[in-house]
Amino acid sequence: MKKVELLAPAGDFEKMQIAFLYGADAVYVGGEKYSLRANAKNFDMKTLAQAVEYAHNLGKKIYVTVNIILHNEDLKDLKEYLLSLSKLKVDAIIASDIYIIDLIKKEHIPLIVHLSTQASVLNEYSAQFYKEYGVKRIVLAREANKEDIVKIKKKTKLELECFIHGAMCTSMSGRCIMSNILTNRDANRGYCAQVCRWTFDTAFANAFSMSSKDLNLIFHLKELIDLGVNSFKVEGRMRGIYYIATVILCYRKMIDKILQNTLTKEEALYYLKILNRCANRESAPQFFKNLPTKEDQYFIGRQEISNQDFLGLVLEYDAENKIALIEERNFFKKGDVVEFFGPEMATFTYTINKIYDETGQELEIANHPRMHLKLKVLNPLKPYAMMRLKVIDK
Amino acid sequence: MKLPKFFIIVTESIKEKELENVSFLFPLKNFCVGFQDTYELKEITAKHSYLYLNRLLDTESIALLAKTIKKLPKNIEGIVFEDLGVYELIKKRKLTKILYAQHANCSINTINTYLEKVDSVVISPDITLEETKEILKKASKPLIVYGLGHLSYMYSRRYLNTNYANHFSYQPKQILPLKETITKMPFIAVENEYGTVLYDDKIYYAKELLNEENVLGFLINPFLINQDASKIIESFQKDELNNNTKGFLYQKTIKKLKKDEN
Repeated sequence: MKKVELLAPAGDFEKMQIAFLYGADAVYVGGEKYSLRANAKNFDMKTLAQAVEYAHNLGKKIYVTVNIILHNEDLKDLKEYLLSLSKLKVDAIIASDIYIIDLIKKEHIPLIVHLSTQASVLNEYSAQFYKEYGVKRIVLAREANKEDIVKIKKKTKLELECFIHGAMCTSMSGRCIMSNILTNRDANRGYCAQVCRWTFDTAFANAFSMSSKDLNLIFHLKELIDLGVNSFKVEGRMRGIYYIATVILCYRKMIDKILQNTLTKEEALYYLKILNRCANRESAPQFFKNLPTKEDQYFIGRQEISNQDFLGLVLEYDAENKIALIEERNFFKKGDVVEFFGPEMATFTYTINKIYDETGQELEIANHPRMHLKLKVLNPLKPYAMMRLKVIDK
Repeated sequence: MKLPKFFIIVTESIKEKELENVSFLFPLKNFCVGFQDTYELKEITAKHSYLYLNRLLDTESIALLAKTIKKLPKNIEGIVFEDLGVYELIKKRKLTKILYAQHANCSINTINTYLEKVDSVVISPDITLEETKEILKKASKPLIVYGLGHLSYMYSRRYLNTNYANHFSYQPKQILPLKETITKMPFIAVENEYGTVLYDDKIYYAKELLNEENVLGFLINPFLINQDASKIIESFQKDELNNNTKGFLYQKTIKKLKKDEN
């Protein structure tokens, strides 16, 4: 069976664990420096060493983003940082600044380089330019269409990584400094203020907005696999564990079924509903087949929808007494119809009849996030399974 | 005193003529974004001309470019480009190769790495005066300094003006003045068939760098400035511009808030 990689974001160690548990083959993480998500928790060197060991023990991979655009002040400790990453044996770094890529080549630093989407590669010649610097994989521009992917793969034979899900920049990646001018926060050094989600007045009555809907390529996954895309990337190092678990599990199931040729359109539609529900924006295929239109963006600035579907995280399961210990995340009450989902288990529906606190006291409602609660659940559960509001029927 | 050299992008307002120390950059039809007017190869007849290609090119576009520039007239001295695929196309040709990768050429080592391949690089005008001076001092070849023009802050492949107009049933505008709702900071959104560029409404100029060493020339972008080339150069040198900005020359950007501010 063809092997493709499902690549998940991991903003911290727990998110990495969740990503692997729910089916990711690899994760990408930010280190202490030089990463484009300055405000994610990120990984210091000690945690990164533990993360690499954790990933490798599972037979999985970990890539580290070193993807800022360098300024003079960023040059000082760069080589030492790259040497440290190589000593940790991370599986690759993701970079876009040509100096980083060239330094690794010239200094023979044992690191594999994946070219970041920040470089916005859309054609075979550009890919070839980077191939000559030793780049092993191209993370394609989100604007890449089918023809671009075919040609780059055919002409360069490089590994290709493609974003399949998550938030989109309105601009070509790396070609925007609106955040710099409006907030002084440096977009290309990890501190983007997402000005593309703001509004602008014009001479017309309605404000101008350029906020993009999110990306999803659910209905093009098979095509992408057939085109030779090697890695399928989910955006979102700032997202929480529920989002990562839900998105990775959906794509894991879809990719496996595609590889076995058993994914039906109805199932794909079901997964799309689940994914749309857990995201805070609508999604669209964006550039893969056609250029985006007015339907693929918003016109009144920020449009994020708050979502309280994530009700609890399973901490333990007492198989003998069939009691699940749950860490509450959002309000629920007796009578609610919920779903349990998780890795290596079938999603099942459950009606909450009784809720107990840790002392055995019965409660009518659960309204204290992070509180530990007990539910009698007949189906077996494992730690890190999740309980969500049931809103979608298969 | 050595006269500075200028690289002037040819826009509608520029009446191209022979000016001392001036090379003209022609936005080439099909390969530029953020301009109203672009030029076909046959229309480019001025001496010391360069082709100006500021788009990121998809497969179809780069194939068209390969065909378009297969044979170039002798007055074309070189190409200024954004997409590194263009370098791959022309690397063996006797043309001056100048890289203007917007927002990406911000460090001396980045620029020196590119200079191993290309003849010159346009320093990103996203950095401070101090950073720019350090780069000029340490660069292995003379560089181009963005001298004057409306700075481009964002480049999208999307038709942002058209989408906005279509959504609200307005007449689409190729040039759309904007003001950010809270700060009231003004911008200009310019759309053509290859996407949309957001420019600063104010005119950036970096006269401070006029006497620096290791400058191949100053890039002048007169787009949206309704003046003749010689007048613009004169204004630049004499510091006589209204509605101007110093961009980031004296404004260092921040990478992360301190922990207690986060």
